[in-house]
Amino acid sequence: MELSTLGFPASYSARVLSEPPQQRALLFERPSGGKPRPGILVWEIPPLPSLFVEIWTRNGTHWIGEFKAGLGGISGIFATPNEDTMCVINRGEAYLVDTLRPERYSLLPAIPVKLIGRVPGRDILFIGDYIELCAVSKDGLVWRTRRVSWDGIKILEVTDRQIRGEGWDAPTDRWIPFSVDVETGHVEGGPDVPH
Amino acid sequence: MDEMRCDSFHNFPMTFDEHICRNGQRIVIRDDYIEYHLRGGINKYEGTYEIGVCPSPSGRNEVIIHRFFRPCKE
Repeated sequence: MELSTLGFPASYSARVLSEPPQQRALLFERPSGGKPRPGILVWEIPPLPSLFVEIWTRNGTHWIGEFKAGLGGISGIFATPNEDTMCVINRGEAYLVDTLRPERYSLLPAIPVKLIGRVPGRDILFIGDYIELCAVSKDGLVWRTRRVSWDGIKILEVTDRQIRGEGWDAPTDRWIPFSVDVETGHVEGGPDVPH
Repeated sequence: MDEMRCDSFHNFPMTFDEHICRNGQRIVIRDDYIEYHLRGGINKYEGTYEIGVCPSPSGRNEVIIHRFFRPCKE
């Protein structure tokens, strides 16, 4: 698996290793929420495999990251509007990483990541899960929509002004059209989701 | 749609269903669609188990038509 640039310039190069490396890898993972509260319903399942990514930065430095997996969704390495920042997604868990300061990573609020794309002609990367979309600009996370679906999003068209899609409406089992302003994340339409 | 829903966010054990419906919050969305919500988790993810049901014509039973674990993002 190689870097998908989506047309963004990248100051680094990156590739997925086919097996765990011999040298120490930086660990990227979701922080633990602590001990679950007593009586809460928790499903414990075996973790899915980590993704090991090797990076060469524009400074000539080199490091390897171990990216823990989510519970399902897409995987890949994607360039972002910031030429030093990459987005690594392992089975739906999305990490935004400054390749020059990898210890300062963040998790994107899309769980699990089901779709990713570029707004054409704009320095905006958009990402979606089952219920909403968010976007990354040169400075990081720039917006997050309200819920546009009860469970499932279809993207129909992306222009330099808006993202058009459909969100699933559980009560009627229908797909309802919506549009998102790519500048603000403001949503028009979509199903009425009360929670 | 079925292909989209073949992960752990949808395929939690069926044995959870009764617990969610018995102990969860009952939310009447419409006369013909009701959801049960119960806080829970999958591994490190905290969130809400959601089960959507349609009452049967007699009103004595509820048929499950939607199962989803919605992760908390805060």
